[in-house]
Amino acid sequence: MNVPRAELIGVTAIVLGFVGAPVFSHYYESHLESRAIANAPKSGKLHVYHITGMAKPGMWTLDAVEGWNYWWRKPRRLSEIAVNKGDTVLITLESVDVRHAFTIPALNIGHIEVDPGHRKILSFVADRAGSFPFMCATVCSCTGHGFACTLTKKQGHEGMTGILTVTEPLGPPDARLAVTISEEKGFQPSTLHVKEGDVVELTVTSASNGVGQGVGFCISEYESKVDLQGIAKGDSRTFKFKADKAGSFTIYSSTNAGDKINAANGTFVVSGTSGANH
Amino acid sequence: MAIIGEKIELRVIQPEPPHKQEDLPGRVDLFAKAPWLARLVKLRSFPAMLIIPNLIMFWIFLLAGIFGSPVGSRNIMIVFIWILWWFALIAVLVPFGSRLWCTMCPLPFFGDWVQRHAVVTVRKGNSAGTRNQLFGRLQVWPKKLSNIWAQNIGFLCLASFSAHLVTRPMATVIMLGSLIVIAAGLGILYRQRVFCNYVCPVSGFLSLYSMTSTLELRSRDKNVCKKCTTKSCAAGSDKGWACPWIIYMGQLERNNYCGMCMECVKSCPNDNISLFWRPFCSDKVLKGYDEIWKAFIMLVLAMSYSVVLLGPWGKLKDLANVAEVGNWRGFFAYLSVLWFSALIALPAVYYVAIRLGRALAARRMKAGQEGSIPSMKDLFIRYGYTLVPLGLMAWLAFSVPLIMVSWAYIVSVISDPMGRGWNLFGTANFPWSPYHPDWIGYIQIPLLMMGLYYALIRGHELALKLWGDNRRAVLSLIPLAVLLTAITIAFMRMFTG
Repeated sequence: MNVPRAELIGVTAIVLGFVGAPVFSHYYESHLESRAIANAPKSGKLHVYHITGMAKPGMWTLDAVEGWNYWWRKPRRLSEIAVNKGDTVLITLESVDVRHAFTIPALNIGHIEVDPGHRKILSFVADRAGSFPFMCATVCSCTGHGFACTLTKKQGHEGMTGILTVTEPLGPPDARLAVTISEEKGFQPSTLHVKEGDVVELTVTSASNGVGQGVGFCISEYESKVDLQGIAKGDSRTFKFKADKAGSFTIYSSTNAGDKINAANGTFVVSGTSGANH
Repeated sequence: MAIIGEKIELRVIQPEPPHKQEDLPGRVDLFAKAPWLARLVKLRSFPAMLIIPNLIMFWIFLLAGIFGSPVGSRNIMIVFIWILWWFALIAVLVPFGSRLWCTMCPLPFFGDWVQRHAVVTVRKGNSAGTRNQLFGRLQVWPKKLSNIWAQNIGFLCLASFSAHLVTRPMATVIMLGSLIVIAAGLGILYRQRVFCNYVCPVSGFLSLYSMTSTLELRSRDKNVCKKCTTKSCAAGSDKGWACPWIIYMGQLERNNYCGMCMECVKSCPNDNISLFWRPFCSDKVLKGYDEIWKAFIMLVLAMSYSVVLLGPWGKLKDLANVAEVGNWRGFFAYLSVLWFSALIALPAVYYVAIRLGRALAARRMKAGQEGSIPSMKDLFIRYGYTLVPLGLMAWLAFSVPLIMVSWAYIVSVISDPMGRGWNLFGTANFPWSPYHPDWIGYIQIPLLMMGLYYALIRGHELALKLWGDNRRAVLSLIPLAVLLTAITIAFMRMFTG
C-alpha cells in the first residue's frame, strides 16, 4: 500500500502525541520523586508517604484523590505513620479542596501550608522515639481564589489528625504494662515496675480528652524513648521501649491536659544492679 | 412621484444582491491581499496541521482531567478550556474569525477519520452523492432533525451543570469525552459532519454568533458558481473533500453553517472561493424558530452564568452547585427557573414587544395597505437578530472578569498542567494576581453599550426592509428597543453592582 508522506507524518504525530503524553508524565513524576529522595537526609531506612488533605470528610489520607475518583472516592483515614527511630521520612503533601497546614508540633515540624492543587515536600529524620500527633494547623477554609473555588464552608479541621509513631527496633517484650489516665485518678496504676534491660510494651489508655487535645504519657529522663502525645478519650496506644536506665522516674502528661492531669504524677521504677534512685 | 416612491420602496424591500462579493460594502478579499494565506489554506495538510496539535492537547487535557488534581484552578483541563479557550473564542475567534474554531476543532476528528480513512489526503471516488470515496454507513440525517434544536437543548443541558463543568475537571472530561464519542458514532452512521451541523452544543453557539463576525468564507463571484458544471465545493474532487457541512458555496449567504474547513478553497476549479474581511454584524437574517430560540437561550445563559459564577449571591451558587452542596431540591428549582426563563419567559416578553411594535406601526398604515403588514412570524424571527450582537457582547462582558481575574492560573498550569507538583517552565508557583480588577466594570459597560448599539442599528435596518418606511420601522421597533435597553441595563447593574 502506498501511503502518502503527509498522511504518514500526520498519523505518526498523532500516535507519538497519544503515547508520548502519558510516558512523559510517568517519567517526569519519577524524576521528581528521585530528586526529592536525593535531597532528603540520609539516615536509616527511607519511608515515602504521599499524603492528601481533605476538608470533606476531614482527613489526611494516603489514597490518591484525583479527577476520576473525586466524587466516588472512599479514601481511608491515615491514622498512623509508623517508622523506626533513625529512619528518614519523606512526605509529599497535597490538598484536594482547601488550604491545609500540616504540622507535627512535638517534632517542631510545620506548619506547612498546602494550597489546593499544589504539592509540598517535607523530609526529616525520626530521631526521637514516641508517638506524636500530626494535624492540620489551620481552619480549613477556602483560599478564595477565583471562581473555581466553591467550597466555602469551614469543615474538616477537627478530624485531620493522626499519629507518627517512632519506635526503636526491639525484639519481643519482656514486660507488658498497661496504664489508664483519667482526671479522677490520674495515672492508674501510679507505679510501674520493670527490670533494667527489659523491653517494655506499654499500653496507655485515655479516659479523658484533657482540654481538647487528649492526654500524654511521658517518663522523665526517658523523653527521647517514650513520649506518647495527644491520646484522645477512649483511645489506647501501645508502644515499645527499652528500660536501659535503672532508677525511679516521674511519669507525667506531655500534652497539656488540664490542671488535674497536669498535676498528676506516676512513678516508673527500673530495678537494676546498682539500685540507684532518681 | 408616488409611483417613483413605490419603486424605491420595492428596491429597498427586495434589493438585488450583487454577484461579486467584493461589491458588498466593506468587503476585502484576503486571499487577493495576502496570497500566502491562500497558498497556506490550499495545502492538503491544512487544516490537519491545526487539528493534530489540538487533538494531542485535547488528549493531554483529558489525561489531566482524569489523573490530575480535582482542583479546577490547578488543572489545565479547567483553566485552558473554561478560562483561556472560552475567552479566546468569545473575544477573538468568533467576532474576528467566524467559525475558525471549527477549522481546528478536534472533536470530529475520529468521525472524519472513520468516513475518510485519511488524516491529510483526499480520496477520489463516488459515494454518498460525492466525488470522493467515503466509508461508513453514510446514511442521510433525518430531515426532521435537520435544525439546531438538539444543539439548543444540548447547550441548555450543559449550562445547567455549568457550576460543575467549570470547577471540576472530571465533569469536563465526561462532557468532552461524550461529545467525541457521539461525534465518532454519528460519523460511522451518517454522512458528512452531522455532529457539527446538528448536535454539537458549541457549534450552535458558534453558528449564531458567527453572524456578527468580521470574517467570511464566500465565493468571489456567484455568477461563476452558477456557470460551474462540477460544483466541486459541494461534491468534492480529487483536490478536496466534498463540503462536510453540505454547503454549495454559490448559495452561501451566512456564516452560520460554514465550518471553514477550507475544502472548497482546494476543490474549486475556478479559484472562486476566498476569505473576506467585512463589517461587524454583516449577516442579518435569522431563519427559523430554532435559530431565534438559540438567541433567547444564549442571552438567558449569559445572564445566569454572570449571576451564578460571578455574582455575590452565595446561596444561588449553592443551588447551582449540587455536587458539592447536595441540595437537590434547590438545584431543581434553579433548573426550573433557568429553563423557564430561556424557553418561555424571555420569548414571551419578546413576543409581546414585537406584537406591540407591530400594532404601533400598523396604525400608521393607510387604508388598503393592511396586506403589506409583515406577519408576526416574520417579525418574530427577523427581529430576533437584534439579540445576536447584544448576546455576544453580554457573553464577552461575562468573560472579561474571567480572564482578568484568573489569568495567573494559565501561567501556573503551563508549568504544572495536572496540579501534581510539576514545574516544567518554572512558573508553577506564579502567584494569583488579578489584572486591574477595578477596570472590569469600565470594560464591561462599553461592551454592553456596543452590543445595544449594534442591536438597535441592525434592528432598524431590518425594520426598514420589513416595513419599507422609516416612521413605521421606528414605531415597530420601539417596544423591542425598550426591552433590549432594559436587558442591557440589567446586565450593567449585575456587573457593576
